[in-house]
Amino acid sequence: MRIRSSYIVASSLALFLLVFLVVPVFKVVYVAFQDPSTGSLTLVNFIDFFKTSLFQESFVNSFYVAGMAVLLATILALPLAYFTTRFNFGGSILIQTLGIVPLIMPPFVGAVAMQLFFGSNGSINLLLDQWFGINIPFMEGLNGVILVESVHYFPFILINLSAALNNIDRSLEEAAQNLGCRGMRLFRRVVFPLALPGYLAGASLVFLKAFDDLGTPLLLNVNTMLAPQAYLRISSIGISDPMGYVISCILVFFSLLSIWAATLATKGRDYTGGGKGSAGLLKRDMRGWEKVGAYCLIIFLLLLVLSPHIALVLLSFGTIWSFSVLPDAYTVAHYAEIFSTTGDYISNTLMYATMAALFDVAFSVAIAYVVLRTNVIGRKWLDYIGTGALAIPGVVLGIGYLRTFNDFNVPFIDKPLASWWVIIVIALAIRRLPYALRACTAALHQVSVSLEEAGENLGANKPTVVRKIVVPLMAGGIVAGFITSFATAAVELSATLMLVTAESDAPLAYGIYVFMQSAAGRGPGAALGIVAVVVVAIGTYLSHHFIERNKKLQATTPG
Amino acid sequence: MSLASQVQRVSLKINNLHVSFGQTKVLQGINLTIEPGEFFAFLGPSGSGKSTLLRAIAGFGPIPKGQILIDDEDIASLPPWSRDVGMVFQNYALWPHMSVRKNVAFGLQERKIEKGSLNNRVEEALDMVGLTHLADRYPSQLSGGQQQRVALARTIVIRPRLLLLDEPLSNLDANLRVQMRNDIRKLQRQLGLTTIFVTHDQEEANTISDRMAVLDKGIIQQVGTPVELYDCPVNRFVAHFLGTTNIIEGDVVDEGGKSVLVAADGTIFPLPHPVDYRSGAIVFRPQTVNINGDIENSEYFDGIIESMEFLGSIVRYTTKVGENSVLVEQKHQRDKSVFQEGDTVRIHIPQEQVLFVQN
Repeated sequence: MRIRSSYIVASSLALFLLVFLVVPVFKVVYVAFQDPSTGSLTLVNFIDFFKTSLFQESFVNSFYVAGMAVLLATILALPLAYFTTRFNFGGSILIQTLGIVPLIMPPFVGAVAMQLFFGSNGSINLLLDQWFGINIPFMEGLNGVILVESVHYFPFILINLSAALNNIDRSLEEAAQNLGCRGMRLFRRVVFPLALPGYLAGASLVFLKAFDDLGTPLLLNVNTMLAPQAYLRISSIGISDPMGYVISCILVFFSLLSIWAATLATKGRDYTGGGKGSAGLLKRDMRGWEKVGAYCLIIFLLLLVLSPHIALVLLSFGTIWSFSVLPDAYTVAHYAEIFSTTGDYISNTLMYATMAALFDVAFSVAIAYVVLRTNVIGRKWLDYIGTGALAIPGVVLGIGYLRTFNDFNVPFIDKPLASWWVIIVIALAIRRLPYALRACTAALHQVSVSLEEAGENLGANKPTVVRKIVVPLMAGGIVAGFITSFATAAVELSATLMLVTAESDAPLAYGIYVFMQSAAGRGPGAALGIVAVVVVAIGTYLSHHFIERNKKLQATTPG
Repeated sequence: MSLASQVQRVSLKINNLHVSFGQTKVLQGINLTIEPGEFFAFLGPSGSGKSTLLRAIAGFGPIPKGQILIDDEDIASLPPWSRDVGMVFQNYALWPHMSVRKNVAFGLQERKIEKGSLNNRVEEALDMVGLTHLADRYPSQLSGGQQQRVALARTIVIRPRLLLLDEPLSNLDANLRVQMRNDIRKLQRQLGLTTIFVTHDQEEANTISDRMAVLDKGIIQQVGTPVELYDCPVNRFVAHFLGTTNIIEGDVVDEGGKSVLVAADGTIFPLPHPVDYRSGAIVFRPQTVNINGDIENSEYFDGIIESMEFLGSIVRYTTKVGENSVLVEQKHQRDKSVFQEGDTVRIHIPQEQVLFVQN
């Protein structure tokens, strides 16, 4: 790209990120430090925050929930990751497939369904009471949030940890054995340190997600946490109340902190791909009794992590399900109801998610190209800021948009931008940009520069090279990025909850949230949830398929 | 019409070319003329700037200062796609998403060649490299040598003004390398294309090129035919880089009207001709040195055999003359005696084989 045109592209990308990500977030931070009456800069809001017992409690609760969710998720993920990477046994494929299923459903969708299984009057406790006369408070208060979050987000640890274990150069383990190290000692001294970066990457994501999640605590009626408090302050008191902004500030700060801590912990510890030995731990077959034990454990864990889905399916087909182990009877009426009355939700979702994902991939390809292939000064910041969107909780982005764009009337429509449906699409696009950006950057990394130079050498100019060589070679990554963005945008709730102003503009996730709040709406809500899960599942499957296909193509690339 | 008859024989002239990566000066004033139809090699160790020079001719890398003239047209400011200078990349850079045929057709499509003639030219190019039967395969389904041929066909099919080859043989195994070397040479002769070949392997450069330039530290050290460079290196670097050689440094002293070189240990080596420099080095090849029996009533040095390497056709001795190491190579025959470590020998360095170089 000639100097001039690369700067034009880079600055328009930067401008968009500035307007729709940086400015709204800074607005939120700024307001948090502003005296509500005089407008001068002050710390008084933060002092108020830490003096209020409700907020103190919320602050502690959010940390407690996020920390415990990481702990519980680790307990779920560790055996699964270990079994699949250490042993030759058929369960591996089952774990790898079913293990990621929780990710394809946002936790708030499963939250209500989980209550029917694990709540104080849920199936499990009814059985326990019947057999042993005991009642375990799985879902009481914060316990419920911890359980739901960890069951939903443990795959982040599973995936990252398994990948790290699979990437360990086998000769490193063999070298340790050769020098007389084995068993737990081998694990502690060699295997675990090598896999630690992968674990930390996963754990920080779980922490972040549990810390920021809005939908789950709201649906479980736990309001004494930071994200729900921010939402409730803004939605009940109004967008001028400073407490919502203070909480947002704190959410952003700790999200960034957890990402930064994980980066710091993994810095300079990328041990993958160094050696020439084959990757992965030494695998061995299990003995008979080991196999039985492993299968029992795995089936138990998988039942647990799939319980939200099972419960949701039962709920969506059940007539009445209350104070009983299973629903009284089964019906398809809920599905009939949602398809006749809530068509808008589904079509809105498909439209918003498609637009957001298309935007994300186009934007990501442009950023990746500018960052990796041009000399534009400061180009790395496009990548940093784009990825940084990951650390901005949806509720904060929503508040930022409300505050920034409420006074901006869209020409011809005569409506504030903050309440126009397009803002939902933009919010979704910004929220999901990091996913597409990762996929596209990784894909472009795989394309050797000499492949482009060869094209230029044979007479193709930059735009032609991009069209004929770069984009086709990135195709797998672009498609994967599109689908990941699409699937996750389709079930996004926290930002949309703030931005939906008219029922007719609302997407699926909002619909599920509204339905789930009333007892009568649970059936249709669950049916809607199943629709969402199916949409996301198809998307995830396709994305996986394209990533694998791309890997195969790239693996055989010469040079 | 055959490809060969279409080739334009162009000359390449490079005037005072400078290239820097940030603060690092990679090329520092390159001046070079390559004749039409010549097979020219850039030879140098890694980091010498040879690949940077080749890439600058193709239009890649930082924007250079200076001129690059093809038949008097300065191409230095043209973008890569307007230069018409075909390059074969070190890793071949075949597009994995296109078949062999599509890879080869790419450059012609960019030149908007109409379909019929495009197909003919693709077939012709594939035929020249002997890959017609693999036209519908993908690069990943080919062996290293076949990929190399596709890369070559993809480049020559556009009838470039220059053919640039960036270490094209470095990814092949030893046998294939010799075969490809000959094939490339044959193809170049057939086409008459002005060709530049980058390599760090002196044997490759010697066997394939008409003339070559030896580069070091971003400067052309010497230009000439392989024989010229081997026999008359202009400086220590070239002497050292091409083949094994003896280099002995010292001060130049006038002794009875003749210049001699006094080495650090005081040993005196006569110089072949009077020189004006105060210090320098003498350079002579190991195979030109006579040892013991080969010496007939001329001046000689006393030496001690320090080590012996038996290489089959020759025996290479490392001898000590005073404090100086002198390599001596002797042709080996069945009845010839071989010296052992510690043997005392006489060593004669024929004057006409000694070259004086500046420091």
